[in-house]
Amino acid sequence: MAGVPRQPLVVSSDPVRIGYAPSAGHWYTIARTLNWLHGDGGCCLPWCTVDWTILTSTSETYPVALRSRPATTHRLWMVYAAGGTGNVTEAEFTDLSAATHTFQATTLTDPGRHLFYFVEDCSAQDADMGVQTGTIGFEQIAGGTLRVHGIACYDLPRPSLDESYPDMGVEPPGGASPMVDRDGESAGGIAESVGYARRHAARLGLFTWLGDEADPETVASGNSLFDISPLVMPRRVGDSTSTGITAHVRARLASGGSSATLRFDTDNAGDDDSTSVSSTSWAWYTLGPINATNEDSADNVDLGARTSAPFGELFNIDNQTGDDLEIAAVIVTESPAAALDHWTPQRLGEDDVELWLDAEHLCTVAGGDVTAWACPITGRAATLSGAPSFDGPDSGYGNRSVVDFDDSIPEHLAFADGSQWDPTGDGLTVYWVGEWSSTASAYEYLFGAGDIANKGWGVIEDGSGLRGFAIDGGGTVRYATEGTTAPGGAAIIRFRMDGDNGTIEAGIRVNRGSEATVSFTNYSASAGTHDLQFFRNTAGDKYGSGKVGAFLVVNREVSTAEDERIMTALESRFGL
Amino acid sequence: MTQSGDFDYFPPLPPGFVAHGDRPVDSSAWHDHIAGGINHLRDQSGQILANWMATSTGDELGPNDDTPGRWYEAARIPLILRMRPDGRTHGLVVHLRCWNAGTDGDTTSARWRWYLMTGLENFGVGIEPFDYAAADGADATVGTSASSEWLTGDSGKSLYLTTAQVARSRPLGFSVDSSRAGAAQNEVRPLLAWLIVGVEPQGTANTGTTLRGYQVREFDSEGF
Repeated sequence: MAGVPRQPLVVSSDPVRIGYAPSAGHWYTIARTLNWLHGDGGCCLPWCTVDWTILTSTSETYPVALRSRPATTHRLWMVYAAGGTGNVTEAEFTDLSAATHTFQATTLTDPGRHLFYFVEDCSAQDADMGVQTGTIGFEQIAGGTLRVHGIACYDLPRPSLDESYPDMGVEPPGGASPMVDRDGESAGGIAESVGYARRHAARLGLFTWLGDEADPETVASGNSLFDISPLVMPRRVGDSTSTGITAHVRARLASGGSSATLRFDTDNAGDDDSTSVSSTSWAWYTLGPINATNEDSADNVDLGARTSAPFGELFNIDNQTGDDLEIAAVIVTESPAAALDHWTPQRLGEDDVELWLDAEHLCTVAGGDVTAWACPITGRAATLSGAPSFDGPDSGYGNRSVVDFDDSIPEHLAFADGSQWDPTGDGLTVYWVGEWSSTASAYEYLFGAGDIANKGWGVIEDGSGLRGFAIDGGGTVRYATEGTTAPGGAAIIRFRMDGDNGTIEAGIRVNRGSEATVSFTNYSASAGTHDLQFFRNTAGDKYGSGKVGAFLVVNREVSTAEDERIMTALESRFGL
Repeated sequence: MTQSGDFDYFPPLPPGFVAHGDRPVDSSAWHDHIAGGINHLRDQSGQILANWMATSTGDELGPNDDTPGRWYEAARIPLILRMRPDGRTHGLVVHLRCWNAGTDGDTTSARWRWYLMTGLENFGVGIEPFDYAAADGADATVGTSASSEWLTGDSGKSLYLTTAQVARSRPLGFSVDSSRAGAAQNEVRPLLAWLIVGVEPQGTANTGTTLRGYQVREFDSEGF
């Protein structure tokens, strides 16, 4: 358990010196501050003014949308309410998890209203930081009418964190104990926690306007919901950019309407998003993410505002064209940043990771050609046949470099020990980031160890589309056919095999789509070509074309959490 | 919330940072990414604590009266504050959208002021939920036309509770799961404060002064 401090510590970089181990004090400040970043909560629904009246013996619900941090187990709702026509001797508040909280509210002259605190016990942590939509409610049970004047929701801090995903707590070192190679305590644990903090320590809610479905705002064609544009200020994540802002709008067509265009627009030309509304039933519409002026943490004079904008980003919700729209809620959130930009496979365990190729950092390039492609985990270098070019930066891969294979010459990268990746036993999982082109006359062999003619496994593109294959004990080619993803454009392909030699299941998945699988018995390891190869034709006499950004081989089946980490890292790294 | 570290961005880390086997971690990568990255993430973890805008005239907030020369309360906003390493609360930057409607014929300016007050738990009846006033505040003056303006403090500083005010305040107390399993609970103590927005109409007649919107966000005008 990693304790969450009430306040962060100052992390000085002064103790970091070449040739010296980091001090325990330095390590301590890092660990404590990381725990604060992950576990100190945040404001998921900024305070907003509302004007809700709940008549006697009635109940009302109001739509809300919010995003919580992954460590959050409890949320705090703050409600500013009072009796309208008399003291409310019994009322209930229903939180987003549908739990009810009883309270009383007296009639007090303005501004002496009451602030009520309701703690929501979240049923589960949201590791994905998704936006949760639903309703909150008030019920007047006894006494006068209930008036609600304002509301906010916070993620409550955690007293302590688990040292695992998604909490990502880090244990400070004990008295004289050394740093050890354990989750949440090693350098790798620190690095991973930093990577996740980039996502988890987000600015949650940016703007809140909560209306009433029973009395919505009507916005005619060409008009905006707000007479005066509201203001938002996302955080800065990259060199000068934010992750974008997203509007969650509860809307419907007014009675009798057929269609309208709902738009989320900012003061910056071109930074907008719109969607068609064609229903007279209430629904959530998500617009964005779109670019937004973000906070400049170095600008203390202007209090974080960039001088080109008033104080952030002005936005509005428009009925761009069409019939009247009715709107009952607008919540603007910041899109979470990707985690683990720096992820390395170390956390899987050194014995598990057989190969990690990264085109940008680990290629040796001479004259534009790749002359070596090495794996930092094992230290093994690629045996190169041909001379694929070094292509980068490539906008399709998040402006990172890739290795570009050309089918006009016989080129491929080969590893002499590819045959050792035998899936029988603990299994085998391969991640490949790249793209491929279709060839009309022959199989497009993306990657694999061995080939169809000589046993082994791999991924091909043929007349049936994208397929993973493996050779069973009888020499029959077994296919797991994905079949739907067309060539062109970067994608993450995961190919895996698992099982003992009696029963093997092979599966192929593109990005986060559904996995196609096939089962068979008695896998036959490659007895012919042992190399791990890219873009080699099945017959060995032709060569495909395509690009590869990264290639990762894990010599076992990976867990769901590990797969999530790897996918998030690859998506982040290559902008997919 | 402010730039306290070496970077105003998140410094990326190359693959292979966590070295394999017994090789040491690269010290420059540790300096930039770990120390610099954590500081930047803390700097940028500031929250938006309040943000709202009236949709149209008639939905705005305003004092019950707007007789010139008197101070009125226009809004009272509860906030959960977070702590800085030096023990005071993170600063708050306040933006108000203010309006002198001139509905009574006088479009003379109005003076706005806002300040922080520490909060008490307020489950009782008829108890004013304040004890100590924060020492800082800000004045601003809206234009004289019948239009609204964005106002922010003229002091160029963010508001905060001092270490002494934090010590005198009474934080809330809630039981929260200590771990994901939820087997044990411990108390967490968020710090409640109130932002009080006041307005003093100027001139000789009522001005129709209203508050159309507000935003309160965490940002420190002073580093630490």
